[in-house]
Amino acid sequence: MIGGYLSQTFGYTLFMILAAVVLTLGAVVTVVCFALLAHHMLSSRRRQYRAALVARAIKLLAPVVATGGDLDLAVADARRRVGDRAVAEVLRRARLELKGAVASQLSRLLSEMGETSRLAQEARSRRTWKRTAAIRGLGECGGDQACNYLITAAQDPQPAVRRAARDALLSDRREESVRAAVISFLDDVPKRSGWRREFYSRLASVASGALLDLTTSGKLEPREEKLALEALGDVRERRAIPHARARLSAEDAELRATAVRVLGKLGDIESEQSMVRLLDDPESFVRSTAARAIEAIPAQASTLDALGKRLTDPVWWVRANAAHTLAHKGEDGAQILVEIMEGSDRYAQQISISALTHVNFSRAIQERLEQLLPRFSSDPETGAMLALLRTAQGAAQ
Amino acid sequence: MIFENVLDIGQLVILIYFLALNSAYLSFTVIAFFDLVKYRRKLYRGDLRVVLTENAYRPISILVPAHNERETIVSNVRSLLALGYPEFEIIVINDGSTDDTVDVLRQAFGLFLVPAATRVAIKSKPFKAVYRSLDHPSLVVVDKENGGKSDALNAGLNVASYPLYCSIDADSLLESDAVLRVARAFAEDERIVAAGGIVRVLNGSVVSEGRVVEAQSPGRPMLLAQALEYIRGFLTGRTALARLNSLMIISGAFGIFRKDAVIAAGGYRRDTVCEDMELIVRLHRRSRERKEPGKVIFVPDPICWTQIPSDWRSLLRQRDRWQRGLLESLWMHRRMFLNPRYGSAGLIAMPYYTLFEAIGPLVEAFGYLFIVALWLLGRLETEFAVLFFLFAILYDIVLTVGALILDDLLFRRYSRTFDLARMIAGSFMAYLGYRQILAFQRSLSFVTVFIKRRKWEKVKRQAISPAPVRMQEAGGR
Repeated sequence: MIGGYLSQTFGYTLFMILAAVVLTLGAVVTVVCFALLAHHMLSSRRRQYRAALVARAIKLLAPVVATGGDLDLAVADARRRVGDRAVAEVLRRARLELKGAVASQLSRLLSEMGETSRLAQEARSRRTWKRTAAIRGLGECGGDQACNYLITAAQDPQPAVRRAARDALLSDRREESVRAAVISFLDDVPKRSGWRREFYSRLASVASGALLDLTTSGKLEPREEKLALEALGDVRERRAIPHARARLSAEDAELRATAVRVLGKLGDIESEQSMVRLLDDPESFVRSTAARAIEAIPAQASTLDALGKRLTDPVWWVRANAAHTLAHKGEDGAQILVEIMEGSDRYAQQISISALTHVNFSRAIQERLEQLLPRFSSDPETGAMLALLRTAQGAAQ
Repeated sequence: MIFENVLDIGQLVILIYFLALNSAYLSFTVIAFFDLVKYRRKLYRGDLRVVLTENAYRPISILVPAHNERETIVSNVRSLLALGYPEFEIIVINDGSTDDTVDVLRQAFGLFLVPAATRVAIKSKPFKAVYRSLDHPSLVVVDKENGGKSDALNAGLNVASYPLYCSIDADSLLESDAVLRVARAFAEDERIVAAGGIVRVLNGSVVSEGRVVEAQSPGRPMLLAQALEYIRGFLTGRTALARLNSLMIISGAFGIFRKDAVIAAGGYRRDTVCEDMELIVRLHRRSRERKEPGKVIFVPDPICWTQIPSDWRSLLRQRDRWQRGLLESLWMHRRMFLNPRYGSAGLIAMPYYTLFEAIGPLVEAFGYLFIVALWLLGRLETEFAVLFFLFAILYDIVLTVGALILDDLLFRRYSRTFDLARMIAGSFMAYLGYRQILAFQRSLSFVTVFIKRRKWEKVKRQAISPAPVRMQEAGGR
C-alpha cells in the first residue's frame, strides 16, 4: 500500500508534512474568503458612494448642458458640491456625445479644472495599459492641450497606445488631429485587417474628404485601397465616384469588385455600361458582385438581357445574384426569369424560382407559372419548388 | 501478493491522475488570470460606441430554436428585439412544437405568412410556413417539422441573411450589449470563426421586462453548486483554453459564428446529442486540414443568463446528455488526438478533453469506490486517506474561490456581499453529495453513450413576466 509504504519508509514525518499542508491550505482558504468578503463589502460602499456622486453631478450639469445655460457657473457649483472627480467624469462622458461649440466649451472646462493635465501626467506612465487608459481619457477631454499630447502619443512605441491615440485624434475631428492620425497610421499600418478596416471606417465617418485624398494619393496598396474605397461607399461619399469608375478596369480583381460594389452603393447611373461589362469578367466573384450591384441602379433593357445571360453562368453564386437582381427589377426582370424557366437549364430554372420567391409579381406572371407546372412532372425537385412558389404567392395575395 | 500489487497500482493511478488534473486546473487559473486582467484593461466604453455609430460592425442573424416554449418565447423575443445592435434579424425556428408556441407568437407580434421557399444550403426537415411581423420587420418565424435542435439550427441557417449568426436558447436572456461585445471581436479579427460569451445562472436573480435587473445567487445548495461550476468553467477553463486556441465548446445557450464557415463545414450534425461541441471540434479540424485561419475565441464579459435545472432529475438528464455529447464528439474526431497536424487542437485540446473531461468522472467515481473497498477490506490507511481527501477538497475550493475572486474583481456581478458569501459557502457544500452524484451519473453515461437517441431536452422553466420577479429556485412549477 502506498500510504503504508510511505509511512513505513518516512515514518510520521510525511504525515506531519501533509497535515501541515492541509492546515496551511485551510488557513489560506479561510483568510482569502474573509478578505474577499471584506473587500467586496468595502469596495461596494465606495463604488456606491462614487456612483451617487456621479449621479448628483449629472443632475446638476445635464440640464445646463442641454439648455445651453451658464456652464462655467454650473461646473464651479458642481465641483464644490460633489468634487472634481465626479464632475470630470460627467463632463468627459458628455463631451464624447457632443459636437461643436458645446464640446469645445467642455474641453476648455476640463482643461481649466486640471483633468487634462492629470491625464497627461498618467499618459507618461511606464505601464502600457495605464498609458492607453490615459490616452483614451485625453481623447474624451479633447481640445488643443489634449491634442498636443495625443499627437505625441501617436508615435508611442506600443501599438495599443498608438491605436488609442489615433482613435482619440479621429474623435477630435479637427483637420490637424485627423492629419496626425493618418500620418501615424501610414507610418505603422496594423497587421490585423480588422483594425485597418475599422480605421478607414472611422476616418470615413469623421473626415471622408481626408480618406478620399488618401485613397486617390496612390500611397495605398490595392488591398488597402479596397478597404478605403469600401469605407467611402459605406458613408455614401459621392466624390469617390470618379475614382471608383477608374478602378473598374484595375488589374487587381478584388479592387474591380470593390469598385463595382461601391458604385452600386452610390447609385451611379452613368457607370451602368461599365458595370455591365464586368458581368463578363474572367473572375467569378467580380461577375457576381457586378450582378448584385446593378440592383441599386435603374437598369436598361440591354442590362437586363446581360443579367439574363448570367443565369446560365457556370458559377452558382453569379447565377444567384443575377436572378436576385432580375427579380427585383419589376415585371421586365420577372419576365426574363420566367423565360429561363421555359428553357432546359435545370440550375437556371431553380435559381429563377428561388429568386422569384422573394418578390411579389403580377397575375400574368403567375398564370405563366401555372402553365409551366406540368412541364416539371419529371423533375420532382424543380416542380416542388415551383409548386411551393405558386402556393406562397397565392397565400401572400 | 498480486492482490496487494493491484491495490498499489490503483492508488498510484488515482494519485498521478489527481496531480495531473489539478496541475492542469491550476495552470488554467493562472493563464485565465493574466488573460482576464489584460482583457479588462482593454475594455473601453468608447469602443462599443464606435461599433454602434460607424460601419465597423457586421450585421447578425439571431437564431432561436424553440420547441414547446409557449411560456417564455414571447418575453424572450421581446428582450431580443431590444438588443443594442445596429443591424440584426431574429429568426425563431419552431421545431414542430406540440403546444401553441406559433400561435402565441402570431398573436403577440402580428405575424403574417410569407413565401416559404429559401436557398437550401444545408438539409433540414421541411418548412410548414414562414412568418414575418409588420410591427417588427427584423423578426422571422419559421414553422417546421420536428427534427431536433440541430435540425432547427440548420433550418435557421438557410433562412439567415447576414454573414454572422448567433445561436441562443429560447429560455436564455441576453444583456443588451452582449452581441455587440462579441461581434466587435469579429470586426477586429477576420480569422475568428466562432466566439462564445459567458453564460451565467439566472435562477435567483431578479428579472424585469426580459432584463436581469439584479444579479443574485440562488439559495439552494444544488443550484449554488451549479452556479459555481458555470463561473469556474467559463471564467477560468474556457478563457485559458481559448488563449491556447484549444476551446472545443461554445455553449449552445449563446455563441456567435461566421455563417459561411459553418455552412462550408456542413452545418450542425443531427446524429449527435451535443451538436454545439461537435460543430466547434469540426470547425477546428476543418480549418487545420485546409490550412485556413480558424480561431475560436471566448469573450468573458458578454453575458447570457440561462435557467438551470432546479430538480435532480433534470440535472442528471442534462449532465448525461453533456457527457454523452462529449464522448461522441471526441470519438467522431479521434483522428485529431495527439496529431500534430491539428496543432493545439490536437495536442492540447483533445488530450485535455479526453483525459480530464471525459475520463475524469470515471476516475473520480472509481476513487470513491476504491476507498470504500479498501475500508471494507481493512486496508485503508485512514489518516492518510482523510488528509488526502481534505487536501483534495481544499485545493479544489482554492481554485473555485480563485474564480470567484476573478469574477468579483474584474466584473463585479453580485452587488450584495451576502450573495458572494453564499457562493463561497456553496463551494464547500458541493462536496456533500453533489459532486459524488454527478461523478457517478457521468460515469454511467459511458455505458449508455451509444444507446440512447437524442431528443429535445426540457428544463422546467419559469415564465418571464414584465414585472420584476425573482427567478424560481424550487423544483418544478
